[in-house]
Amino acid sequence: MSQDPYTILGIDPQADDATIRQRYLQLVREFPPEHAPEKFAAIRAAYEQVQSLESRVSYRLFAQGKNDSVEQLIEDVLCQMPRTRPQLRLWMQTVAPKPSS
Amino acid sequence: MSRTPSPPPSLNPVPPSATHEAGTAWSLLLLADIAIQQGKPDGLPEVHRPIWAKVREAFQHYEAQRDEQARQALQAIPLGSPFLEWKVLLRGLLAYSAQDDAKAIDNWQRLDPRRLPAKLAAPLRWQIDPTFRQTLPRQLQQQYCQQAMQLLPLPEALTKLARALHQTSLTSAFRLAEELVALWKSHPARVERLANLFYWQILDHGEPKDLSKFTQIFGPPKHDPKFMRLQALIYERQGQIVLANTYWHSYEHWIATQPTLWPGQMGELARAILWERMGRNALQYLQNGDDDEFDFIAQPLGGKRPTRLPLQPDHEACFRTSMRLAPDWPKPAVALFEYYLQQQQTDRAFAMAEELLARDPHHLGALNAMARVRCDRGEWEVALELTQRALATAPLDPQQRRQTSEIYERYIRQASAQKRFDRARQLLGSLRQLQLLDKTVMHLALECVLEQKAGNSARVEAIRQQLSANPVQQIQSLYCLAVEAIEQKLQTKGKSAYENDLQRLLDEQGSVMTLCALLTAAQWYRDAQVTYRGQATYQTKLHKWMDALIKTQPTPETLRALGEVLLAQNQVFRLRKIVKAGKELFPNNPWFCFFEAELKCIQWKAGQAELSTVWEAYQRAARLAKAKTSEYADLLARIDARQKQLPEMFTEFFSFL
Repeated sequence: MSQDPYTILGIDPQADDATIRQRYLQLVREFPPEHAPEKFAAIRAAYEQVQSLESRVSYRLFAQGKNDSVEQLIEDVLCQMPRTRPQLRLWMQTVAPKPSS
Repeated sequence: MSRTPSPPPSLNPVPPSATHEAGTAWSLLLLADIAIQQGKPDGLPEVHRPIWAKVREAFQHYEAQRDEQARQALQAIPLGSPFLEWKVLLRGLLAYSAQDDAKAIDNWQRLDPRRLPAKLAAPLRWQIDPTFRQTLPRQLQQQYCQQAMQLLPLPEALTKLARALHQTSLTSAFRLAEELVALWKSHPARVERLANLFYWQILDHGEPKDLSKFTQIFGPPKHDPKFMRLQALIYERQGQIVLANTYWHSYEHWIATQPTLWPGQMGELARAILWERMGRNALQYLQNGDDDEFDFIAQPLGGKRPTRLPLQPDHEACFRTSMRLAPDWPKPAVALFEYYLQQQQTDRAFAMAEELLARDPHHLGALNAMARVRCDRGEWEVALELTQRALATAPLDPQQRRQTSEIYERYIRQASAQKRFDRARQLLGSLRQLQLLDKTVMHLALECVLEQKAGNSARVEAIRQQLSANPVQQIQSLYCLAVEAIEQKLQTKGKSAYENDLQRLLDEQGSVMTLCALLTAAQWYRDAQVTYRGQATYQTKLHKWMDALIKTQPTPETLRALGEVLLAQNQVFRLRKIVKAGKELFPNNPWFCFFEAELKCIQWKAGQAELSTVWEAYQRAARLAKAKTSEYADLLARIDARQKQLPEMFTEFFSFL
């Protein structure tokens, strides 16, 4: 999953303070910490990076893309790949545990 | 969007523990899953075998891309069948292959997560259902990603790239990146992300040649086409401040010429942020120099850095440029204000505080410094307004409450001296609301003298009774009343009475408890920077009393009690006497080694001692305390806490030795 705060919050990089805050509150309601703690933490961290003009400029100057990793790129490439037609045998071998007796 | 999986009622298997019947139904569902997985209906009751065959048939049609026939085969699976979950899985799969993600998600989210079909669907659902993906714990996300990697035709170069980057082999990673760039010609966003990945990899693991390799493969980075930012970051990381600032300067120039990328206010703030960073670097350079010029190990061992000339442009010029570029941004003004304060350039600090408050009206440091200077100038109401603003900004901060109380105390004394009793009482009410319990005696004495001046004898009597309720308080109140009488300009008769009481106590030279109580009271006024007539005489008498006690009653308890009071007051000279006497007379008592360590620590903070001696002194104290752990458990905990506060690197270094 991308670490880009704009992607996490689902906002345009040109969005202003009010729009960002509105979106943040909407997401926090959608993913409360008691139900989705990891997602909530990611939303909170993303919001802190872009909540004010100063934080947005600092992020762009010193941190934009810094936390991206090749694993996240792989994840995104996988998610964007065209849907295939998995063969049952390979699918079973990959995913399913060995049946118990 | 995604919902919590809730299978239809007919399929909802009851865990085996519920009833025998339910357990049998659950077993049947498991048998159905096993039969599909093994490709043999051996364990299945005869009646379910034709449906098993239909599921197999549906899969075969699906794999052969005969979707319509697969659908027809699925129609033969009735609602009550143990294979119904497989029917739902296959329906989702047909939608998935037809690129109908919504329908696939709709089917798969109905699957029972305990059954095999849900497990099979999970990596594909992870691929297409962002909500499902985001709400999964990280561990499951990784598991499904790994499974999806095996099921989907991911470019081999990408998996190899992951390996190369993990091995920090940038040369082979660049080669693989070339392959991916060629492969992703129609995915510019993906290539940009890959480029970005390499950009930051160069910071962590790169070499100078990697910059040209990067440009060759990806072209110049959009936000840093000449790698000025990257090189500034690299040099900063290496502690080469001169070079780092040179590159930051160039980068700032470049931003100024990019109104499209860095428009208007954003561009100016970006430049201001860079100047502020250069300012901090320049300050660091002035204080520490470049890391390559000084052996890092020499400093903790007490080496001295040579004095150096400031970097050009120097920190002040950098901070001021930053302030000019972004007048509403307080950070550079804060940095300059703190620098001037640290350098004791008071006038410049206050001028900067005024400027800072214009930018950030809630800046605590500036508000408190200004309140104090206004107070010193006798501008009481302005000082009060400033300290109240500071308190409103940090109402629970004990340090702030103390600073505010000092302004109140000074103003009350002044108002009382001018016989503005109502105003003084009003301020006293606000002072009480701060609830500084350790200053209760001082505040009662303040009020006592105020009411005495105002002629309110009933209240004076009540306060005196309150002050005499506890012996330590009573002694401390004698000191406070004498000081307050002087400060509030009480009439001569009343003032002399208080002074005589204190003189008598000082001349008697009573117990160590009395001396400690008086030393503490004297310290309250020193902390609040209150000076009064007779202060030096009182101090001298207290110190003579202390010297006499050290000579005549040198018990460990006496010396320790005095040591604690002096330590709380940071009285290095007097504490040294206690340490000397304590160590000579009681060499196995860890308290005096602890006081010695604390002394060394104070000296180290002032740049007058080496950190190694501080550490060793704490170690000595700990060794002695460990010999009688039961007796010195509290001291051991205190030593441990103090040692943990020492710089981490140094602690590790010495524990290794």
